[in-house]
Amino acid sequence: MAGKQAGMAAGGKAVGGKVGGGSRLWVQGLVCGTVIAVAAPSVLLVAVLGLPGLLALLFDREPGRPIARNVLLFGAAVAMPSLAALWHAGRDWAACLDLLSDVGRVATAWALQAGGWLVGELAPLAVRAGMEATAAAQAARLRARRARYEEEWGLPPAPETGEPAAKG
Amino acid sequence: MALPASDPPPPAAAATDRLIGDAYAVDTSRPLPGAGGGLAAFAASDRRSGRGDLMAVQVRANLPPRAQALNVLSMGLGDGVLTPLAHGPVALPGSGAGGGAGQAWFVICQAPPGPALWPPSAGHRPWAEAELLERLVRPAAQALEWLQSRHVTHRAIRPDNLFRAGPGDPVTLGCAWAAPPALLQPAVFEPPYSAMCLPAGRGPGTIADDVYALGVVLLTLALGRVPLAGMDDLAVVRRKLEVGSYAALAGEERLPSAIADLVRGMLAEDPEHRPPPALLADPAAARSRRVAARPPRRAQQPLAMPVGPVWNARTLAHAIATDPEQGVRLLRNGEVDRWLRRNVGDPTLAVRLDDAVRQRGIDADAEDGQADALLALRSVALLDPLAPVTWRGLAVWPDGLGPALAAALPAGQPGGGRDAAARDGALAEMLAAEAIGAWAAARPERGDPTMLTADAHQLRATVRLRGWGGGTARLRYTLNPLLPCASPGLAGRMVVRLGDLLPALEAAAARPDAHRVLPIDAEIGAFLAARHETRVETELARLLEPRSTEHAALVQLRLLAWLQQRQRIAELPNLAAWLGEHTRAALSVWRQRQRRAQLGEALGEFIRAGQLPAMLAVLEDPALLAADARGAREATLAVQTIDRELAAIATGGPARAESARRLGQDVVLGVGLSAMAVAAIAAILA
Repeated sequence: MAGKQAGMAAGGKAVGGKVGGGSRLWVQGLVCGTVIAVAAPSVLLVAVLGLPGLLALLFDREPGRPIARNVLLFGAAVAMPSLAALWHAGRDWAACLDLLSDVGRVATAWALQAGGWLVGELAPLAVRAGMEATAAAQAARLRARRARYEEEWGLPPAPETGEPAAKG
Repeated sequence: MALPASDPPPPAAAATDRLIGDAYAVDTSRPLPGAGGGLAAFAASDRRSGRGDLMAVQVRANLPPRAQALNVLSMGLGDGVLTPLAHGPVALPGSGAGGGAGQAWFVICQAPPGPALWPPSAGHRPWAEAELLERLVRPAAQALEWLQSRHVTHRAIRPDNLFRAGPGDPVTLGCAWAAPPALLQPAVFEPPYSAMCLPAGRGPGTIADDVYALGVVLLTLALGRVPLAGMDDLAVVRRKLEVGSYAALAGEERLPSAIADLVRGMLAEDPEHRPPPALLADPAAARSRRVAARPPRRAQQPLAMPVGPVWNARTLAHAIATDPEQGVRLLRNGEVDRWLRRNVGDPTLAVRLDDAVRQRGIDADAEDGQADALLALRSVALLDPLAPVTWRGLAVWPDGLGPALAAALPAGQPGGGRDAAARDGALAEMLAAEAIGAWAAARPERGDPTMLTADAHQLRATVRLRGWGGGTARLRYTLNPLLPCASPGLAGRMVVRLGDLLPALEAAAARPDAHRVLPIDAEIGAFLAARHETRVETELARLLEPRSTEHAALVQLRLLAWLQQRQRIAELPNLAAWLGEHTRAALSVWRQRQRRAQLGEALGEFIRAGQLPAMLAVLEDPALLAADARGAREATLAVQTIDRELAAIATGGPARAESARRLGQDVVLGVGLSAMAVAAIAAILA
């Protein structure tokens, strides 16, 4: 029952995302309330395991909340086995507390979410490094071509513009 | 009147035989004083035939020999005249590879059979009538007849240029071919219309002028002295014009009647009234020939002119020719008109002069000085139809214009000076005003004005040509086929024909100091234009375009390469090096460095080989140059594209950062979604 409520809560959130304005808030609240009422153990389990994601959702102010989105995605992936275990154990408070008392489970869930956050931070840097390297290589090729033209046709050298590819 | 002194012989030099035309040797160590008719003469011999009775007459600088006479007379020996055999340049003693004294032009002709008639070795003894007729008049007339049959005049008949082997032998006319016609004739031996000219501008004239000179010689030998001796040339001319040549020269002298009649006919004022040489060969017949010539009208009162009182129209013409400013003043204020009507009694002439004065008003669109000069010229021609062309105090015959221009080399040129420059300027102005045409139109009864007007028009066109291919410099060479190029860059070498130019430049190029300037200067340009074909003119005009030195060098290379090709001269390494120094910079027009280097190497090879056409081909290949320019344009465009791309890379950092951020987040999103999907499937399947 609790697991069902949690799944409904997740579905309600997804539905709530498509509803705009104040009515969307009411709908979300209604859905969340319904989910909490129907599947409170599942909601608790998801809330505890996905706590870093919820905190990120609270503090991420960027448009589209990319950090929170990544952390939540990883949190959701981590929570799936525990939620499945809760549902198999009857979806009651005892099973929920039993699962939450497993410190290793909670720590693993939070660590993976931290990893998700870290990946979300590092991935743009890595991509940018790759793009800069590509640009620098292209600039080098262009400069070499230009040098050949200068040498062959006696054209004036390019004005000093610094290292175009390395900066910016 | 003293006869002209001969050129002094050059300093004693080692006996050196020098050849003209691979046949005639000139021994400059053996001068023949008095044999050259006023010019330096040396012993010469014919190496082929072994003939030794020849002489070489040295041509003076800027006074070219008579090309037409040399061409015609070299074909056969005449009797009674020293005929030319050959002519050409000879290196003077002391000249060598370094230049030195350079070359001189010599005319080879027969040596005189004996001493000149003047000064007489046995004192001034008058010749007997028979000797005069048989030993002077008859042989000289036969020689003149021979010359006339070849359309050549002598124009140097005077006692010091007549020779004979000994007393009783017939006279021989001396050499008259190594200088412009009548150049050295004293005024007393020339008709007044010739004597008043610039010495070099008297022109070949007609055989009647030779008859006149022979008449004066006849008179001189009959008297035993030169008539009017001691008078200056101007006074001699005025005297002849005033009283007539015979009266002026013979005066009250007592002459044998046969001689007096002969001399009177030979000294007739009008050349058409003088006996022709064929008639003179029979003195008795010539004596009997009488032509009734109307004596000039003498005024009752003279007209006062600065040169002296004027008594008839011819002396007035001479006075105006001598002092045109004063003459024009008197013409315009009507004094001449009144004098002609009241004192001379010639209203017809006065009317014609009045027309000339009115014509001056029509010429007023020209500057005043030129209009006045034209008025003076027309007035002189009207007053004395026998007079030559007169311009600003100068007088010249149209066919003597070439030597007159040569003698008037501008200041700074060898032989030139301030007076010469002034003469050159006056002659140039005369040609530009088409004065010869105006002169011919004013005396139509004395010549074909149509032909002379056309000639004047052509001369004017040449004088007004811009650049090195025009002006009086070009005319100087056009009208004097044997005038050597006066360029100082030729280092004394005689360049007379176009074929002489490249060897002379090659020799001059051996001197490193010559390389400071380009080979062709204004004089060589004028020489080229005169001895050329039409295509040279365009290139010569380009030399004056205000562009770079290498452009001028390239134009000169084009000209000289054309000459080398045309004359089939195998190699000119010195000249090629000279031009190479100035044309190497022209390689800079090539943009592709590798090709430029290759062309530089090729140019160096052709310079060493002395191949001017090949050098030109290297420097001027229109197809390759166009391809090079096209390649340079394409390279420039490519570099501009590269610069734009580099600038885009340099300024594209923020855009790349944004892209990287989005792309990174998308990647992480994808990974997260994948992980969630895997976990969900695993949970469902568990």
